[in-house]
Amino acid sequence: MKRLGREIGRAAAVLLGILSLTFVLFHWVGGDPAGRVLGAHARPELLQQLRQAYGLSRPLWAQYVDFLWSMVCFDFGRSFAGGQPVAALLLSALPRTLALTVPAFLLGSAGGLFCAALPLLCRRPGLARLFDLASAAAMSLPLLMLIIAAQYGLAYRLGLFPISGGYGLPILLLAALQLGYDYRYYRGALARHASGDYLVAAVARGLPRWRVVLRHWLANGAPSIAVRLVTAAPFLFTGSLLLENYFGLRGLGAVLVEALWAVDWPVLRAATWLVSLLFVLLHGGGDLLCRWLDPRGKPEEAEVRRG
Amino acid sequence: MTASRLLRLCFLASALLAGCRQGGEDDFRALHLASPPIGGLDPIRHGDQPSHRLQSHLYETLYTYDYEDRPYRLRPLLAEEFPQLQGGGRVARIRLRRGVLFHPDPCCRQRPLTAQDVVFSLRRLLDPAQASPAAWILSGKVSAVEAESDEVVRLTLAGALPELPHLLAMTATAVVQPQAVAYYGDQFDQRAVGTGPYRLLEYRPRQWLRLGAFRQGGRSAAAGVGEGRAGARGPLAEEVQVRLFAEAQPMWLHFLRGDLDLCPLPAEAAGAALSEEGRLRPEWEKKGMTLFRGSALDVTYLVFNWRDPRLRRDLKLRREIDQALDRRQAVRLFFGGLGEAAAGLIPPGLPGYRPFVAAGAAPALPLGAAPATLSLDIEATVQSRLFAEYLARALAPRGIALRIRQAETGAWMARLQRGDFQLAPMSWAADYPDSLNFLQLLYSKNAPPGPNLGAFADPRFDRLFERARLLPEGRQRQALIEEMLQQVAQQRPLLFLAHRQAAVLVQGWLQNYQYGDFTSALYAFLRLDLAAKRRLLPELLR
Repeated sequence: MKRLGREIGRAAAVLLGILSLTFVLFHWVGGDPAGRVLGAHARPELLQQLRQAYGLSRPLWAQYVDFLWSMVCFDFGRSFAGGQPVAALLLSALPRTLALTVPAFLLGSAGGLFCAALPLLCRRPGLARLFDLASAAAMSLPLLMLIIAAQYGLAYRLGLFPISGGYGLPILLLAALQLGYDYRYYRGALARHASGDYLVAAVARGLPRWRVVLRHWLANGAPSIAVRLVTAAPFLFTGSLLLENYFGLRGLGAVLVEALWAVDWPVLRAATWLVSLLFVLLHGGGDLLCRWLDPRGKPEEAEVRRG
Repeated sequence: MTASRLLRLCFLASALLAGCRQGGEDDFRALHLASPPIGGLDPIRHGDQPSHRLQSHLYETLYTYDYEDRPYRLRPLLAEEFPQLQGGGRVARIRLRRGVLFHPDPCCRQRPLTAQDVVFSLRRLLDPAQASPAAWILSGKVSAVEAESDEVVRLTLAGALPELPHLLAMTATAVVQPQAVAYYGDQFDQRAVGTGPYRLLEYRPRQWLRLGAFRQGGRSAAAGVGEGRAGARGPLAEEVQVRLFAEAQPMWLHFLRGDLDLCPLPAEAAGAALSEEGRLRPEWEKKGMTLFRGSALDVTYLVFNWRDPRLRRDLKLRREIDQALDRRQAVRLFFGGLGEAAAGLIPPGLPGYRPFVAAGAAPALPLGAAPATLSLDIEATVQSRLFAEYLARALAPRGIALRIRQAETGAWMARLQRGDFQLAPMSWAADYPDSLNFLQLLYSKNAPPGPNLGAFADPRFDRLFERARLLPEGRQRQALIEEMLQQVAQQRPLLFLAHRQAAVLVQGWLQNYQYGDFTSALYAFLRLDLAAKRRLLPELLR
């Protein structure tokens, strides 16, 4: 219980730090939202009225307290740029982002795990070298170049995918990009367990190969896999601006970048708060999951072992 | 599984994921157009040009510019005639056309437009609570808007406002239906109940729109749309599908495949599509495509901070910088050749424009201005940085060193408005087609936060500007404009770089297209030649 309290306290401190930093950055380098909304021609008295309406003329400490309270209450207000409720704006773009990122995440993770496991299972160093090369290529190619080449070649020239408006090609591109990183990570994480004596023993006992892989090898690597999945999951909600723009999907990535250009403070602060909250919650959840998957990680049990 | 089966499977899967609709005959007959992303459909809510261009098909303004006439000619649209000025020019009475209907919509019963609707729309634009980025159009210039009757609107002006019809031709002043605003509330930005030649059938924010023709008995929806050389009255295409593209490449590829009827030529494709002389290459002409080039009615320039005593007094230094600029090279480098070297403030298409004449093949010799180190303030973009470095290289041989300072857009603009700069690159696009809209950049009362960023101040220039502003179009006004331009050429408070151009490619089956920066309801004038489309489309798909 004491440990849970400590974890919650730490998470709250992280969130408070992020929110404070966001507030400082916005006021320090964010520019004048009223000027952005009303444009270069705006009359000074209108600008002043709008600053008052946004609450920007009040003392900074009052703005800060209000900001923290509205975030805690999930009251995101209205967008400066379009006037619509921020929550509705984010929710309307979320399905398009998730339709792109979730399949790509699943495909990339499964592919990365598979590619990492295959050479270790088959004990084929040549295959591993080939995958190493392919993953290095996938990681070093800029996404923009991949998009332009794939859209021109696969969609326009070969007609295999719609040029824009379809999810097939962007999902494949995002998955390919993620696969390179995932492969490297899983390979490193799983290789540690590949030479374990318990695997030799399991094979010697005559267990089927798939059972050795799933029940013993992957199960032992599960905490590492869980860590990877949990740390990558919050990015599902931030979208990919380039893919969204090039394929006409216009999800959260585009909304956030437009908000950044427009100094749309309510949208930016809501997005920052939600993503950091997700990070903290998922990382906390990931810790619990890892301890459940591998109880050796629990401090009290480590004490027992040492004792 | 063979490679071809795998490819087919990929295609099937992607088609399923895309949720593609099979295009039928209706789809074939519809106009297929492209637009940059729009903020939304509420005329007062957004200040960007793509939003206003699209909104102009759904909503109408009191005045508009003729589709075909150049220079642009203003004519009444929802108004019956130009404003009648009373009370020494302080009151403008505008009589409305009768029987103009709003689009049918579930929000309320279809009814004709009245003066109360105009009053509601203009007051809404002026309302500080709405925080409209377009409020500047009337704010401080119009002090009251009232309805004298169902057909007459009365505007009380804060001072002389000869540009009123121009202001009332801007899309932000378009007439919306009050019941629709109340009914849809937050969602009004995604709806449209206006009187325009098209009504909104479907809108998928940030993705696409579908518009259907709206005609009313006895009168075209756009009050004269399609009159004259364009042919029949009213919108010519029954349905328009507009896709919103944030990037040029997908738009361009769709156009090349015949999915779009017209497409602005992206700078990246200009080299492939245009010859050295800037003409469309023959292989593209063979596909039936036509190139339209038009002046974008803008000017890019370098502004000197007139508050800096050294810069203000040293004409030789300003001329030295002016001579160092190779404008034609800059147009090639920074606008992909889609522009014209600027000789002055006024762009082509407006009275006062002068074409650029190069001094000669060899670069002009240094004038011998005293060595100087100047700061150049730019916004932190790649394009600005490249331009700044180009300028620094051009000035170095003349003993002028540039200290480049860059800042994020908001901070950069704030610095300029505070007067904390010496030199800065800037551009101005016309709010309405009038030479004075450019000359106001040097009017002292427009000093920051107004558009006269360098705070240039000259009593003689101000007097000429104030006199010209009150005069109607004509020889006397033109003479004053010429006098102001001469003064600018002598004093050089701004150094002009280029007037940008737009290049638009049009498929062989699209008729009646004419480039125009101030064209309202462009789609209503476009006609499809379906026989030509049937003939040319397979060629593109091959």
